[in-house]
Amino acid sequence: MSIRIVHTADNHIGIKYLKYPENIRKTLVSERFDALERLVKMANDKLAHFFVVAGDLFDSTQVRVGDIEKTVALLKGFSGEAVLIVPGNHDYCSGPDSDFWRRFRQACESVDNIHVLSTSQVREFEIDGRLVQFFPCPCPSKTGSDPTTAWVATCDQRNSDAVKIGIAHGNVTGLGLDAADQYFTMDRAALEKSGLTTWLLGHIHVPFPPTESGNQSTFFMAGIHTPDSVRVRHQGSAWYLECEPHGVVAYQQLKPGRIRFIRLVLDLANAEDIDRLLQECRAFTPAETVLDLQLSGQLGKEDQKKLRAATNTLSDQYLHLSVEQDLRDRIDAGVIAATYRSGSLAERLITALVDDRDFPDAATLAHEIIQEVSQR
Amino acid sequence: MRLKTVSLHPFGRFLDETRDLSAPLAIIAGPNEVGKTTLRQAIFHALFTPTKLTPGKLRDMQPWFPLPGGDHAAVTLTFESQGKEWTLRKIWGSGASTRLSAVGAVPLSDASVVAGKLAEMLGQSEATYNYVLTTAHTELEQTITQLKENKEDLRDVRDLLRATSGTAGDVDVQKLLDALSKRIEVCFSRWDNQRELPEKHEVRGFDDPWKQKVGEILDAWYQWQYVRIERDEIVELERKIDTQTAILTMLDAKDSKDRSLIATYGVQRSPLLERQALEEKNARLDPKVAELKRVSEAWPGSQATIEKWKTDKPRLDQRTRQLEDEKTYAWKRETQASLPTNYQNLVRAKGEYENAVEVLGKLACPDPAVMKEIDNLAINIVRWEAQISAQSLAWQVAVSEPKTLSIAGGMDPATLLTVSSDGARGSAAGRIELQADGITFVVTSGDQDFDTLRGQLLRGKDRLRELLATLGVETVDSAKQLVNVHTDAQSVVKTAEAKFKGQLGARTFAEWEQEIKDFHELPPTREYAIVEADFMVHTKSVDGQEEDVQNQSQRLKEWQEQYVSLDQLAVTLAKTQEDLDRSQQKLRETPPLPPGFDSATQLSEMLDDAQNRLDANGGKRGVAEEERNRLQREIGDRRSEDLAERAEILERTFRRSLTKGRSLRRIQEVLRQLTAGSDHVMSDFVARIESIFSQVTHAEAKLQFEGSLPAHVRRGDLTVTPKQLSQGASGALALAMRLALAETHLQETGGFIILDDPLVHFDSHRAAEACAIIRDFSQRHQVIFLTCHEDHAAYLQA
Repeated sequence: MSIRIVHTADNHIGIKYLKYPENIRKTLVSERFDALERLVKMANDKLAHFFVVAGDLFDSTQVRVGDIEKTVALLKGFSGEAVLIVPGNHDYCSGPDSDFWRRFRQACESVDNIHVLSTSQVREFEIDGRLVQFFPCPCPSKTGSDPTTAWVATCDQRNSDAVKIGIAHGNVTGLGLDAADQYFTMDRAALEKSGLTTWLLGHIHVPFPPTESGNQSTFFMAGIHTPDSVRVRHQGSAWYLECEPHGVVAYQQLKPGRIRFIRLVLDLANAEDIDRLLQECRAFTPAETVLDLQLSGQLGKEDQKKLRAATNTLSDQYLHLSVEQDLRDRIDAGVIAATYRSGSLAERLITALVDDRDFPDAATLAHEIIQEVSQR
Repeated sequence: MRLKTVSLHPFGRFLDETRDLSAPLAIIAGPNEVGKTTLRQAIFHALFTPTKLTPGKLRDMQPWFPLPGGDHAAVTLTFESQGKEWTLRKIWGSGASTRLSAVGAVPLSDASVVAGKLAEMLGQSEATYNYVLTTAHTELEQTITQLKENKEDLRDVRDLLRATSGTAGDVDVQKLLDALSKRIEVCFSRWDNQRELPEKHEVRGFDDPWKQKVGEILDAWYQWQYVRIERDEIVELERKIDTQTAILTMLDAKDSKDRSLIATYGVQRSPLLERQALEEKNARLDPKVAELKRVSEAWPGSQATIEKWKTDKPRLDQRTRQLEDEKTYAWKRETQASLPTNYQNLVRAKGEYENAVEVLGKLACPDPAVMKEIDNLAINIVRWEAQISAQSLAWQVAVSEPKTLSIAGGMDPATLLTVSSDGARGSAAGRIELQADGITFVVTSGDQDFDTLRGQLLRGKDRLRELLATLGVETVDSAKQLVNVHTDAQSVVKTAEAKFKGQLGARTFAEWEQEIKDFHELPPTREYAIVEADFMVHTKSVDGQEEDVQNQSQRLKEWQEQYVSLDQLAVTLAKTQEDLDRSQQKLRETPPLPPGFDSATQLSEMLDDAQNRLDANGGKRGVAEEERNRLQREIGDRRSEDLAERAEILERTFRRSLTKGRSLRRIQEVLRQLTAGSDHVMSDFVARIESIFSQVTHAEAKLQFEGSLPAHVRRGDLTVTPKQLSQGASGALALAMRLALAETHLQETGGFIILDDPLVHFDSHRAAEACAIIRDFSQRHQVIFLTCHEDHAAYLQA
């Protein structure tokens, strides 16, 4: 029987979503708890032995006690052997203990299967006579240049018969999207040489491996469990893993997230484009989708009206809609002919500009200014 | 637009008046006060004054309400435009309304729609009709001034000309360029487009950002950068928090060792310090007990030694004295061994001395004064004799016959001398006395009294003999011999005396005699060296014993001071020994010093140091925690992730502003390209004005323009400004300007001009020319000419 693990990270409990209106904010804050609860349920359904959080369970070390207690209450629901929490760079733990994690531990006082792995020490468990060794690599601060995993390679406690799993948080060369290189960047080759067969990682909010299931991988990036912004394009991710001493023998992606943050960037030229916009929006469940539209292009007057109507509709339907517009009146040969006498300077000017691809807004701008000047 | 009729019903003084304006040159002539200006105002208000007026604006219209008590004014205008005949009816005041209708068209009554439609059909702005196409009564000469004053509302003629060179009714290029420039300025103000940075950013930076005239691009850039900076600040604050966290972690690590030390050894501090005190006590008691034992043992011996010394001391002192005496005698004997010999020598010298004295006593001793006189006399006699000898006189006597002469020469007594005929001669010292025949002939040396010398010599010799006689001798030498013998005897005495005294030394002879007596009486002794050695051995032994006794006494004294008595000492020893035994027993019961520590004191100091460090670190921890909390408060709810997202949005806004600005510049560039080379149209315009002006004034004239208005008029060699022209010429120039401008404005749009008695200051000749020109103008554009001058009307109708 393999050791079963549900691996999550970057849950960021406590994000305040201050840029959203109050009612939306509550929904988004709640979603972070709800998705965690769903994930715990999934773990229980899978009869997982371990529920591993590879960093950033919380958004910061300033999270309210009420949120900590609520999180603990959800994690208590895990029916497996242990919940293992490694502090990440957002909820770092300076030294063996810190005020924040002390508060967390206090909230866990009545629970014996939730463990905060805040020191770089091997934690061993025995599951049905099989030894499982976890090698936690907690973050001691928000930023850091050195990887937290260095101690593993020199650790002499590795048991060749055990299932040996590293848990770390930070950027990994070749895996991450985080180019800042200030978050405990780990070297992939070094991790491979560490003597562990499996690494459960967190930080970059994007799941790895890229396939939803499989039977072979040394590295697992949990991905954020439910999206927190438009930068997260997946619908929330965690891994279910079956582990043996020689490594993972099966993995499957879990999708506990519900609310999506969708950014659509469209260049609109006509009514069909507006329809296409609506079509793309329809792919997402309105009540669970925060829409962020970045619209640019040129539209005729009628199309602009249609767009206004469309965005009004979207705003009513979707959880939240924000629109960043860079739209102008559409100027084409028809508009020019209808507005300006043939051969007039205005007509010649706009005609000269309308096809200038280097300055696509120039014709519209010129039209606006000519209209303004003519109305004086 | 071509006007057909105008009806005033009512308007001003007219209650219901209709005029036909349909002719290309509609002349409305009549005397003053017939209502020509009212007619012009009615046409203007019908075309441009809305009927929905504010109370203030309505007051402006009230002069046109009919008197008395009129509450409204109404005008109906018919005209042709766009191939239709339109009727425009406007009522101001009571029952205000607007209506525009035409056959085949939906009537319009919305004031703004009607205004828009009218503007479309007029093709010219209200300002153009007001200041260019309508010339009010007596306003002609004010044309240039009016154009200047209303420049902002009027289309620039140069741009109009450029446009009309293409298509009539085109956009005003100058205004378009101005608008573009303004927009470009609004976009790019304070923005260095080349470097894509604010102007002087390297100097001002973000500490002194531009506040005045900040363009859209810079504004967007600032907003973007401020968010970026805020994000960087958040990241920096996070780093600072990490630094404080690292400090706290380091303090934890340090405190951990100290806490561990205190936890491990803190409880042992008291017993270990007690052990150390016991060890120190034992270390103190051990030698004390030993000392007490030693004193106990030594005390009786010391007492015995002191007692024995008291017994032995007199004997030893006596022996010391004996040895000292023996040593003294032996020393005397040895040091005075030559005394007898010396004494014998002394006695011998004494005898010799006494003998010499006796010899001397027997010798006569010439009186030294006598001897001195003798010596002096001897010397003087020799000197005197020499002096006399030195006065030698030679004498020669010649006689005729032998004759005896007495002759005395020198000191010699007179002698008789028989002198032969051969004469005689001789010599004598100092004096020659010749006596012969009773004649005494004396010759003496010339320079000294020879007799004095001779007397001295003789007396000296006598005294000398006398003195020698007193001495019993005959010669001076004998006298001197006497002196010598006496002197020698004296010398012998002195020598003997010296020798004797030398032998005596510092003592008297009696002392010598006593001394030799004492010497012979000295008792017998051993040799001095033997006695000395014996003495040294003895005294050393005595001194040693004495010192030992002194030491013993001192020690005993000290012991007595310290312990009172031997018995009391025994009690003290017993107590101290008991104390030591108890302390050693207790020591065995205390825990041993842990390894790695030199002493309990060292351990205690390490514990104190650890506690001090903990206390000090507590302070540092407080500072670090406070700083970290402050930094966290400073961050507040801000998240670098959110700010990064915000920065992205603002960057896009900035890029859009930049794109817009560049598009505006592109428009400007294209516009300039399109209008380049169109300035020739101005010269045609100027030529047209020159033509009209020259025709009216019957004089060739050239105009120089500044901008769109004439600045100078050159006629022949004379150049003047428009203001310097005569009233008539000035009116002619104004008419030329009006007509040329009207032609330009109406070239494509069509329309009309209204001239309200424009030629009042023209002479008849010029008026006739002007009317011919106006008549010609009316061939192309409708002219409504109002005049009270019949001749003007006649000229027009000619």
